[in-house]
Amino acid sequence: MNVVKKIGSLFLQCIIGVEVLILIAAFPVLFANLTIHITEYFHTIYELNIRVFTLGTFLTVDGKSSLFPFIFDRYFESMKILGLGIVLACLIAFLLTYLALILFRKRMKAIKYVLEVAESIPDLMLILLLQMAVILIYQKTGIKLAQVVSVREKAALLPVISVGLPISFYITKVLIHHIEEELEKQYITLAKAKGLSFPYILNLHVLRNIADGIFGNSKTIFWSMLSTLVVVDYLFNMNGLLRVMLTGTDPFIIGCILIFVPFFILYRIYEWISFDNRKDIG
Amino acid sequence: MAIFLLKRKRFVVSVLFLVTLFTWSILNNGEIQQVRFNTDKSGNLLDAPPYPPFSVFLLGSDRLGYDLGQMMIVGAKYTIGITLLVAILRMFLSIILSAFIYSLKPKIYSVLKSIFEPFSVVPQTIIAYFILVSVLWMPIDGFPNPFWQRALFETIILVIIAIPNLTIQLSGEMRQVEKEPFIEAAKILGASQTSIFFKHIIPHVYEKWILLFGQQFIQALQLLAHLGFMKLFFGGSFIAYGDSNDPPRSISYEWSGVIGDSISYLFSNQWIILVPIIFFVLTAISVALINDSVKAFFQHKEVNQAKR
Repeated sequence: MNVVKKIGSLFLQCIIGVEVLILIAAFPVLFANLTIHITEYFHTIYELNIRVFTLGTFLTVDGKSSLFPFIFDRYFESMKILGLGIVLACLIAFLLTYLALILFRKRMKAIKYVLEVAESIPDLMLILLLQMAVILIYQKTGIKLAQVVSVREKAALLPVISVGLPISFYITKVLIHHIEEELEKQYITLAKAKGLSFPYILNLHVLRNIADGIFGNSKTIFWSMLSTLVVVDYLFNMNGLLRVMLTGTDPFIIGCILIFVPFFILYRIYEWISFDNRKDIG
Repeated sequence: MAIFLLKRKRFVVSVLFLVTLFTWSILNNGEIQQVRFNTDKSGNLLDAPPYPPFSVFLLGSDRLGYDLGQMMIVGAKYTIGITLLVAILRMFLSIILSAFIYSLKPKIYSVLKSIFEPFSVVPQTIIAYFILVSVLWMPIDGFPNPFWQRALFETIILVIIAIPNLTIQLSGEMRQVEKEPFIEAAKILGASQTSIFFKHIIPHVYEKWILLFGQQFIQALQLLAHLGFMKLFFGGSFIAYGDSNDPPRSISYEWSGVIGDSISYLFSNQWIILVPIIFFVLTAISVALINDSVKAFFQHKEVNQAKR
C-alpha cells in the first residue's frame, strides 16, 4: 500500500513539474512584443498540454522533420559529455582533497582561500582561457593538445575538461568542509587511538559517513554543470541537446522534460532509499 | 564590525576596486577615443586597428580602433549596476516570499517545493535565453519597443528565474530554526507569529542572507556573461541586416556585450576578448573576497560570544 502511495505521489509530482515547464515554455507568447496576450497564452498552454500528454508530433525548427529520433541522439551525446565531466570533476576534486588533507593539513586556511577565489571565477572565463591556452600552445610549438572546435572531427577532450574543471573547485570545497567536520567527531579519536593510519580512517570511515552529505549537494553541482554545458555547446560548436533546445518552443519543452524527468525520479528514489535506511538503523 | 573588516587587506582592496571602478564609470563622460590609423609624425602608416595592448592604448583596441580600456570603464556602471540591482531584488523578494512560506504546513510546503523543483534542475541560462530571445533579438525592421522597456523586462526575468530556488533555500533555513526548542518556549509564552519571526528567526538567519547576497551577485554576473556570450546583450542586440557581415552589437558597452561582440577574435586577436574577461574575473573575485571577509567576521563573532 505504501509503495503504491509513493509511486502515485511521484507520478503526481512529475506531472506538476512538467506542467510548470509548459508554463515556462509558453511564456514568450505571453510577452510577445512586450504586451500581454493572455488568451494566446492559455491557448498555447492548452495546445502544448495536449501534445505533451498524448505524445503528439513535435517538429524541429524548420518545421519539416520530426524531433524525435534526432533529439535522442543529441541527448545521449550531451549526457555522455556531462557524465564524463562529472567523473573528471570528481577525480580532480578527490585528488585535490587528498593532497590537501594528507600533505598540507597545516596550510588548510590558505587552501580554502584559494578554493574560494577559484570557485568564484565565472565558468565561461575559465573555458575561454583554457581554449586560448590550447591555441597558444599550438601556435608556439605546433603541438595540438586537443581539438578546439568541432568542424569535421568532433572535439571531445576539451569539452569534457571544460565541463568538469569549473565545478571541481566547488566539489573540493564541499568535500574538505564535510571531511573536516567529520574528523572532529569522537569515533575518529578512538580510531586514531587504536593506531589506525590516517589514510585508512579517511578511506574507510570518513568517506562512508560523508557520502550522504555530498549527495545532498549534488543537485547544485549537476545544475551548474548543465549551465556550463550550454556555453560549451556554443563555444565548441557541438550542436548538443542544450543548443538544440534554444532553437524553438518544441525542442525547448522536450529538452526540459528529457532533462527534468529522469533526474527527478532518480533523486526521489534516492531520497526514499536513504530515508528508509536511516529508519532501519535508528 | 567595520574595524575588523578594515584590518583585512583583501576586503579593503576588493571594496576599493569595485567602488573606484563604479564611481569612475559614472563620472566618466562616456566618450571613447578612437584612433583609425596609427601614424608617425611624417604621416607614415605604422599600424592599423586592432592594436595590441601597450602600443596605442594601454589595454589595446577593438577592431575599429576604439580604446578597450575606456570601453570597460564606460561599461562598468551597466554591468555592476545591473548585477547589483538583480541580486538585491532577488534577495529582497525571496526573503518576503519565504517569510510567508516558511510556516506553512508540511504538506502544502512539499507541494510548493515540487512546483519549484523544475527551476533547480533546468539551468537558469536556458530559461533566461529562451524567454528573452524573442524580445532582445532585433527583428529585421528594428525594435518595436524602446530601450527602457526591454531593459526592464530583462531585469524582471533575471530576478524572477532565481526566486524559486532562493525562496526554497531561505524558507528551509527558517524552518530549521523554527524547529528549535526556544521557538516552542516563545510560543508557550504567548509570542505571536510575527514577533517570533522578527525577534527569533531573523537574528538566526540574517548572517546567511548577507553571504547569500554575495553568492547571488556572482551568479547573476555569470548569467549575464552567459547571455552576452550567446549574443543576447543587455537591453537588446542590434543586428546589422543586409550585406555587411557585422556581428550583433550591444547598445551600451556592457562587458558581456563586448565579449559576445568579439568572440570570433578568439583565435587571432586574443586581447579583445581577454580584457573584458579579466574585468569580469576581477569583479567576481572581489565580491568573493568581500564575502569571505564577512564570513570570517561572523565566525570571529561566534568565537567571541562562545568565550563569554
